[in-house]
Amino acid sequence: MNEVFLQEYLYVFGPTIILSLALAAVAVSYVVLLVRLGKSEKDKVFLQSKIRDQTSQILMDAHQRRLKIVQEALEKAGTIIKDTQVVDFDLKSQFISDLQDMKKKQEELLRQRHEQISALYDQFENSLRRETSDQLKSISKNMETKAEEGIVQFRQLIEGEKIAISKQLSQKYEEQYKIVQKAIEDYKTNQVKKVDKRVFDILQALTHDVLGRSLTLKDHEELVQKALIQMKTDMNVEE
Amino acid sequence: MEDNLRKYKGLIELIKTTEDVVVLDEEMDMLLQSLYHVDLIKFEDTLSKFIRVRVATEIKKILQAGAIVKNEEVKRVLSDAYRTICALPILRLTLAFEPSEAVINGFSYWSRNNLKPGILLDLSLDRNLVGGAVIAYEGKFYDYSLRNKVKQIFEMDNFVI
Repeated sequence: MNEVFLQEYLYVFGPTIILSLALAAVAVSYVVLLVRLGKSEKDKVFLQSKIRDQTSQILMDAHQRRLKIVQEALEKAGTIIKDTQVVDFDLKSQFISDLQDMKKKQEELLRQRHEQISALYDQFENSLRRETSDQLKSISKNMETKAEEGIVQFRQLIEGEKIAISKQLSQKYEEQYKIVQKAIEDYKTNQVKKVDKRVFDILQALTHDVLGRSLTLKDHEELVQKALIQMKTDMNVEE
Repeated sequence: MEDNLRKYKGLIELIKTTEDVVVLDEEMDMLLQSLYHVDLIKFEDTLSKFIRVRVATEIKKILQAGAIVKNEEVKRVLSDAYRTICALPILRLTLAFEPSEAVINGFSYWSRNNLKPGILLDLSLDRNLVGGAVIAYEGKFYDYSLRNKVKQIFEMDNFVI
């Protein structure tokens, strides 16, 4: 009975015991880990303070060195400026003197040039005036000559045109005269034809009235007989 | 053609003008229509009642000469005679007066003896011709009117009114 009870007890509480043991092991390892983490934090703070100190020292050194270099540079610059001021004064006075000389020379040169240019201009003006005058004289003479020639040619042309126009006029006049003459002739012919026709109509009417009344049936018959005989004769002649 | 002219001479002598041909055409129509009857009684009746005596006599002579009694033969002979008359030559006369029967006969007689046998006259009236005749024959035209003569005189160069 006790064995069975023990077996059941183990069966129920065995896993719980195992789980508890595993949990305890995990908790122990976690505690160990926390302890290690605390130690490493301390190391970190120590290292950081050490780095900060060293960096400050380096910066201080660099600042001191920089100040020293600037001081030396200032001193050198002062020396150089002093030397330069002395030289510059001498050069300036020399330069001004040269400049004034040059100015005088340039003024003299400019005056000479001005005189030369004035002389040349006067010369050019006189020459131009003379040449222009000559050319104008020549042009007017040429124009006169050409105008005279042109007038002569124009006169000749006009004479020629006059002759041609007169010829054309006479030709046209003749043509027109012929046309009018033909029209008159045509008109005459037409009128004569009209008169002829009118006269013929009158004559025919008269003949019709006179002969028509005077012809008897016998006369008509004889005329037709004669016509038939005449036709036969004409037919024989044609054959 | 000449055989037919001889054969139908009596009938042709009665037909002198184109107007006669028109009348004959009507008569032939009546005779041919009467031939549709079986016997010839209807035909003889038409011949004696509706056809001119002289024409009827001539038709009878033609039929007797040929001893023709059957409808078909009569029809053939009549058609042949009519065709012969229609094929006769025509002389066209334009006159200035209206001719009498006797005058027409005279013109026909002269034409048939002097021009061609069996010739037909085609007559028309134009009083403006004054006298004489205008003739058209075998495609030719002849003006023998007095009007034409006056015209010729008028158109002469030396004509003076």
